[in-house]
Amino acid sequence: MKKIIFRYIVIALAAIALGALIYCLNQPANAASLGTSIDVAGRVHEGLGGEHSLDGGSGLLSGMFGLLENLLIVGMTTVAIVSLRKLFACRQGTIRG
Amino acid sequence: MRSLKTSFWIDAFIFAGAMAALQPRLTGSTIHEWLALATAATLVLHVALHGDWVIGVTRSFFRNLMHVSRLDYLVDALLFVAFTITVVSGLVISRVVMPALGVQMLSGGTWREIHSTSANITLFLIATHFALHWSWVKNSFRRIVITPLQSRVSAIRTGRESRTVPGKTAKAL
Repeated sequence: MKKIIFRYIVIALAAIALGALIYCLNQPANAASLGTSIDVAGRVHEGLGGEHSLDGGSGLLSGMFGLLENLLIVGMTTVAIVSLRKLFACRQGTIRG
Repeated sequence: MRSLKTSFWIDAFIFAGAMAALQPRLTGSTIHEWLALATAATLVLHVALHGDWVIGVTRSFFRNLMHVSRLDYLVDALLFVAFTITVVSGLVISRVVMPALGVQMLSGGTWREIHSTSANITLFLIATHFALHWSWVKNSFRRIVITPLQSRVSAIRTGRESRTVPGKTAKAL
């Protein structure tokens, strides 16, 4: 138990340090170079899944659709990765056989 | 000693919390912010509980080239960084949590975009992490949810049968 608490504190401190570093890297100069490169990637994923801003207001129906999108992404990724793993496992088997 | 049940329910809470927190339109900004913080705290607990694995793979990361856990490790490390960026940028643009703590953040224009992009990356990394541990998820779900449910249903059925059988025999007699 003590070990887990110690680890928890260490990981939390590491996350806080990383967060402080990210904050210091971006905030003082309000770095535009980081913003422009991220803006393009942000627009790519804007249509499906992920987080959407609250500019259009919150609503149960649109929120449920958004949640469904996220679960769909998780499902599709799971199917793709599990299939790939099975495919490679089969190939390994045939090489060995 | 940590049981499979504890691990499963902690992971289930993280997954459900992350999925809900990634949809602020569903929850509204107040729940979104507090839920994201609670998920982050539970995520740290998840990493702390798997500390032995993290230390073991970190030690053998560069030693063994054909390491099976390397992909898991890389995905987990990226997920940790992406989630941290999401939480930090979320705190900077926070409308509820930081004002409630008495802190007013002077956020620039890029923070919102950073928050949105890192949240999207986090979602894809969560999906990858989930997929990489699919066999564990499947087996744990079967052991913790399906099997007890099945045994309960069969217990109810046998209970009903034992109650109805005497009646039938009485009628038959």
